[in-house]
Amino acid sequence: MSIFRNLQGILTQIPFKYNAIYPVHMNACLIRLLSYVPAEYGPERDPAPLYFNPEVQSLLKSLTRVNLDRVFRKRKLGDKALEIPTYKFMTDEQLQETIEEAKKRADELLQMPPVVQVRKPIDRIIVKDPALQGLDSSRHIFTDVSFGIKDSDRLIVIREPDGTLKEADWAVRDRMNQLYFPKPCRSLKMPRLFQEEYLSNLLSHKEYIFVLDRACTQFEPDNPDYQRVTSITYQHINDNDDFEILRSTRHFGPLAFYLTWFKNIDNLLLELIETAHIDNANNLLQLYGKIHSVQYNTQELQSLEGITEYIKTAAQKKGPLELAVQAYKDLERQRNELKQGIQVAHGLA
Amino acid sequence: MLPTKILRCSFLRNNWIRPLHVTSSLQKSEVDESRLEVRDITKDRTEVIPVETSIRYLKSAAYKQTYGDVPVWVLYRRNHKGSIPPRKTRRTCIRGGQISTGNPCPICRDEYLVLHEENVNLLKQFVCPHTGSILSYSKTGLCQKKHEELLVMIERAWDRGLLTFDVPFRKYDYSEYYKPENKDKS
Ligand SMILES: [Zn+2]
Repeated sequence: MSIFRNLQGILTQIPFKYNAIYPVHMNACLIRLLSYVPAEYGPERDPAPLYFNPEVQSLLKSLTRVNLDRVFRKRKLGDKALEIPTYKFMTDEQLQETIEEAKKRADELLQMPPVVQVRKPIDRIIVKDPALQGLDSSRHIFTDVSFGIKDSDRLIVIREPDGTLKEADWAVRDRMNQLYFPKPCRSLKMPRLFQEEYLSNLLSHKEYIFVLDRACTQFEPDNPDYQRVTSITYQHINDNDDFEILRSTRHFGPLAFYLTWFKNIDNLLLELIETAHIDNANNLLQLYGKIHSVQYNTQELQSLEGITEYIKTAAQKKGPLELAVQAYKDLERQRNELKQGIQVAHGLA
Repeated sequence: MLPTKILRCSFLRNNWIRPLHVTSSLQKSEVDESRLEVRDITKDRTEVIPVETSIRYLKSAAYKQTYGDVPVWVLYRRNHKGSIPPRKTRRTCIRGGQISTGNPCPICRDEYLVLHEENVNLLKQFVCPHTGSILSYSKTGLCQKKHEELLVMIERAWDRGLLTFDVPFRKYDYSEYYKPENKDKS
């Protein structure tokens, strides 16, 4: 990783693959094995107010499409003993109640990882005490370990050997927090799987959920490394049309948000139209409208008006999208004809 | 040096079988297939087998014929006095580059099973398919030395993402990341 970090210092700026209007931080590393340029949520525009907006959240939730079987799949967390399933007799009302409860629990399990701006480096000197120069040959790190303080608010300062007292930078903060208040599945050093070579191997095996879950536990959402890993993963999913793998997981919302933010929703839209999820396609366009403050006629969730409007004005893959819309229209017409035929046969029409 | 080389080449041609126990069924198969080579058990473990060879071995027909579809430790039985096995397995099966026991553990008995983080198909056999935990030596019968090695290698494979696992759920407190009331004021 140190090579990667060093090389990031001598970056070459290359034009961003997608013609994003918002300038994004572009880090093209010389030893890149993946042909993806990580795009962070840069300082130009803060995604958090939009992302945490209840309307946007509900749009992202409906795009996720909850499938309870997938949400409640058995997680093998290395516990020695397995739970014994319990069987109960229930009345219809009790069953409904339990299903409601399960849906609530599913909502908790589908909590989307926050999408925030990448954090700014800490570089604040508190005081310079030349009198303390040469007191010790190594740095001293002071950490406030009192109970009940959030990791983000914790006071961590460094006394340099030359007597300078300064605030610890992010790397030290993360390390100290993990040292005194260990979090599960987080290591002091960044695991090698986030390095390019191992990451590309994982992505080629389509282990997206593992990579994203691991990134969630290892990093804070404003960590540049988190944003690098997730953005590469999202781009890989987008290019390989593997949306179905992430569907009904907590990561689909951030994926959709990322693609919309960087104006790259054509593949996702195409997939939604091809699988005849027109309501979701309209949801996506509503999201697009909210983020980029444009208006599409998407009030009617089953209509194709907004979609055709988007294809005409903003789409980059006009051809395939138009074909998909046409195919959907044909399918719909056939279905209607069949329905009418059946009704006629039954003597209803 | 030369005989071992020939042997290694021959199992890569997929027509070689290495007996764990020379049994009658094995001798019969020797009669059935004249091309099948049989080699005596060697107790020498001084030669270092590269991982690539081991990975190819796990995919070969020779491996399949020896172990079938079950993990390598399933067909192993520990030898012990009485009905209750000792709590721990033996410290090591190999001393001074030689097999020093009559019933070496599942990894030691087959020199082509190399514990290495890239040998994922072998490591997977020691992770419980139901709970995701690493199987104990009391179940697999590995000697202490190899079990220790196994733990290290699985940890390395997890670190490199060569072996995936289910990650515990992380619950986020949204108020840590976005405070709407502050934004409204400004
Ligand atoms: Zn052994």
